[in-house]
Amino acid sequence: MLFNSHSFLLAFLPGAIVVYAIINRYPRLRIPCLLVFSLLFYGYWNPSFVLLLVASILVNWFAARQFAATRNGAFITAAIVLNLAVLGLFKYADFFTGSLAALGGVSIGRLDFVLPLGISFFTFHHIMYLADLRRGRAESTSLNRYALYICFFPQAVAGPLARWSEVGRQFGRDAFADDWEQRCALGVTFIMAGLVEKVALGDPIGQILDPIYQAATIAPLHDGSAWLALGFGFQIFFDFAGYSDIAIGIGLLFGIQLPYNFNAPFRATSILMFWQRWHMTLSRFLRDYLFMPLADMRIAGMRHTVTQYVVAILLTMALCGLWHGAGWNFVLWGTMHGAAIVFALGWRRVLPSPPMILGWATTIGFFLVSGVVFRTASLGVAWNIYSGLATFPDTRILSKAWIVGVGALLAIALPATQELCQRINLRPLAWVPAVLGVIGVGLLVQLGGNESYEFIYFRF
Amino acid sequence: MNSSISGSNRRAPAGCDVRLAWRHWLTIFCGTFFGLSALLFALLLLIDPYDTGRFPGFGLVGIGDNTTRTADASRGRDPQFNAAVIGSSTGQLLDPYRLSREAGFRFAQLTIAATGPQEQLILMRWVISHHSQYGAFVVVTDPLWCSSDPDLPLSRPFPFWLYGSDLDYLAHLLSSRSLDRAAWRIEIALGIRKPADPVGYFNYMNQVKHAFVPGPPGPSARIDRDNWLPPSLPWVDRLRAFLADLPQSVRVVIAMPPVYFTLLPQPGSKQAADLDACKAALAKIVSDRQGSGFLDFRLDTEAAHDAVRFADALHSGEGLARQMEDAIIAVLRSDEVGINPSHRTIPQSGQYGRRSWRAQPVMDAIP
Repeated sequence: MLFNSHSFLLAFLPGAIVVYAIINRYPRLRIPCLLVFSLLFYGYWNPSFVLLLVASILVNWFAARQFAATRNGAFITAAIVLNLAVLGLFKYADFFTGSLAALGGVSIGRLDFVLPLGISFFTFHHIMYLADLRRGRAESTSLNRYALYICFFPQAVAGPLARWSEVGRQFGRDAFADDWEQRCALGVTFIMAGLVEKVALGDPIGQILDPIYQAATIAPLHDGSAWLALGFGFQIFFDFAGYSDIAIGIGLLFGIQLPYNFNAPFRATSILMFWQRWHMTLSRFLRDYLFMPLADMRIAGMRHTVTQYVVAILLTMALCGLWHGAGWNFVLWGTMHGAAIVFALGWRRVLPSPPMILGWATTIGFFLVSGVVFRTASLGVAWNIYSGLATFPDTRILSKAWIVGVGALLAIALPATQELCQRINLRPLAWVPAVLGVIGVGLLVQLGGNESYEFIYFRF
Repeated sequence: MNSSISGSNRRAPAGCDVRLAWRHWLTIFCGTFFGLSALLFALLLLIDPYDTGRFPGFGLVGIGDNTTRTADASRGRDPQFNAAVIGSSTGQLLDPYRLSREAGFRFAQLTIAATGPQEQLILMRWVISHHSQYGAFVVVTDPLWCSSDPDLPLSRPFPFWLYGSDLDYLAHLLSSRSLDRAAWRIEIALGIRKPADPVGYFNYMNQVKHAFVPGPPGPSARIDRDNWLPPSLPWVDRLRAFLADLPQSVRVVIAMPPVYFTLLPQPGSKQAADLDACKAALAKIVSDRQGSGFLDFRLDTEAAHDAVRFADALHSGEGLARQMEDAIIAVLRSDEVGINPSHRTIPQSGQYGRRSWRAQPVMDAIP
C-alpha cells in the first residue's frame, strides 16, 4: 500500500486512527494494535514476505535476549552477519555473481529473487539495535515492542532510520494525552506537505525526465534535453523528502516522533554540509556504524591515520552507493561523493573557505551532475547525457519542463519542511486547516488521475 | 536538528482554550478534507462520468469522451447496439455503419488502439454482461493473440477498474479524469457541448499525411521440423473459454487482418509454422457456431505487396478494410453452421505463395 493512494489516505489511515483512539484506553493493547496495523500494511504489498519480516524479528530479538542474558558478543556478531547475509542474498547475489561472471567468464545462474519491500531499511534497524545494545545505548526489550520498532508502518518500508533510543520508549505511550491536538495538527501538516512534495512536484518532474532518460538509452542527447536530466536530483529530493515527511506526520498522529530526514539540503554550501542535511538518518547510520569502526586508529596505527581516514571515507561512501542499489553505477556514485568529501576536507585543511555562493554552486552542481550516474543503469547511458550537455536546451523544451524549474526554485528557496510546518502551526489559525483540506482534496483528485507512482526509495 | 515538538502551550495560562482551538483546527481539517471528498464523490456517482450505469444517478444521456479506452464503457453497454467490432487499431477501419446496413445487426465500433487480447477479452465480457441478448462479435485478432506469453505486458495503461467490480470502480472514481468527463456530461445536458459519436467510428486514414515507406523484411528462423512443437496459445485458449460461455445464437467472426508482406514470416520458417498453428486454433474455436467463421487475411497476396494499400506495415488502408467487410458480412449473413474455411484457407507451412485477394479460399467458403 502506498502512502500516496486513495486506499491508504481514505481508508487505511483514518481506520487505523479511529481504532487506535479506541484501543488507546487500554495501555496493554496499544503496541499489539499498532503491530497488527503494521503487518497489515506490509502484507498488503506481498503477504508472503510478512513471514520473512516476522522471522527476522524473532531471530534478532532472540539474539538480543541471549546477549542480554550472557553478555556474549558473539550473539550480536552472528545476528549482524546473518542480517547482512539475508540482505546480500535477496539484493546482491545476482549482482555479485553477474560481476564475477563478467570478470572471469564463469557463468553462474541467476537467482532472480523478488526484493522484499524495505529489506534494506529493516536490516539496518536490526543492526542499529544490536550494535547499540552491545554499546549499552539500547536496552533489552519485550518481543512486541521490538517487533514494532522494526515494522512500525510509517517507517518500516523506507525509513527514517530511527535509533532505538529515539523511538523505543515512545511505543505504547498514551497518544491522546497532553497536547495531542497540536501534535496531530502538526502531523496533518507534515502529511500534506509530504504529499505536495511527492504528488505535485516529484511525480510531475519524473514524468518530464523519464522519457529523457529513456531516450538516452538509445543515443546521445543532442537536442538540449540533457540539461533537464540534471533535474533528477530535485525529483529524488521531493520523492524521498515527501515520503519522509508523510512518515513523520503519520508517526505524530500515533504519538510517535520520528527523526527528521532532510534539512534543506539544497542550501548546503559544501558537500560536507550537504551530507549533514541529506538523508540525515542514513548519514548518521553510516557515520556511527560504518565509518567510525573503519576509521578506528587501532586498525592501522597512528602513522597511517590520514590514509586510513581517506580509505574509510571512500569505502563508506562506496558502500552507501551500493546500499542504494545492486549496480556498479551506484558504487561509482557513492565513490564520487566519497572523493568529493575527501577533497572538501583537504581543502578545508590547507586553503581558506571559498565564497559561500561558489561553495553552494559547486556543491549543488556536483550533486545534480553525479545524480545522472545514480539514475542511469549504465555508464554508457550516463555518457549519452553528459555529452548532450554541450547543447543548451531551446525555449521550446524549457517551456514544457517548467515544473523542473519550479521544483528547483522551491528546493533551494524554502526552508526545511519541519521548520515550515512548525511556522504554519505556531498558532491555531482557522484558515490553515481549511486550506490544507482543500489542498488535500486536490491531491486526491490528482492521485486518482495518474497511475500511482511508487516512491523511488521503495526500490532500495 | 532537534526533532522535539514539545508544545509551549502546556504552560500557557489559557491552556484549555488553546487545546480547544487546536481541536477546532482538526475539526475544520477533517470537515474540509473528508466533507469535500465525500461531496465530490457523491456528485461523481450521480453524474456517472463514464456512463457505466452502475448506480442510480441523474440519468444524463451521452458522453463527451473520445478516448476509446474509457468511452467504450458507455458504448459497450448501449442497448441500441447488438453487435461490436473488437480489436486494436488494426480493426479500426471496419465501418460499423456498413456492417449494420448489410449484415443485419446494429454494430458499434469498440476497437481500442494499442490494446492486446487481455483488454479486448475484458471489454467483450463487459459488453455481454450488459446485454440480455446479443447478436454478433467481430474479433480482429492481430499477432498478439498468437503470443505464447500468458502475461503479456500492456502497450499502454488500460483502465481495468472501469470494466471491473463495483468496488474497484469506486476506488478509482475520484480523479481529474472523472471530473473532466463529468463536466462534459453536464455540458451535454445543458446543450453547450456535442456528445461523442455513440457508434465510435474513426477513419485514421484521414490523418495519415505521409505515404507508407516499407522497410526490409524481418529475419525468420528456419524451422527444424523434427524438433518443432506446436506453440502454447494461452490467449486463444482464453478466447475459447469466453466463447464457450456465449449463447450459440451469438455469431462470432474472427478476422486476422492483412499486413504488409515484410511482416509476414518467411515460408518454411518456425514463425510461419507457429502462425499456422495459431490460425488453425482460432479457426477451430468458431467451427461449431452458426453464422460464424475464421477469416484469414494475413496472407502473402498481391495486395500484401502493394504499399499504397497500407498506412504502415501493420495497418491496412480503406480498400483492404472494405474487402474485409465484404467477407465479414457474407459470413454473418449465412445460416451455415460453423463456417470453418480453415481447411481450405490456411496453407500449411512452406506453402505460402503470392495470391490475389479475390482468389482467397476464404471467399470460396462463403455461400
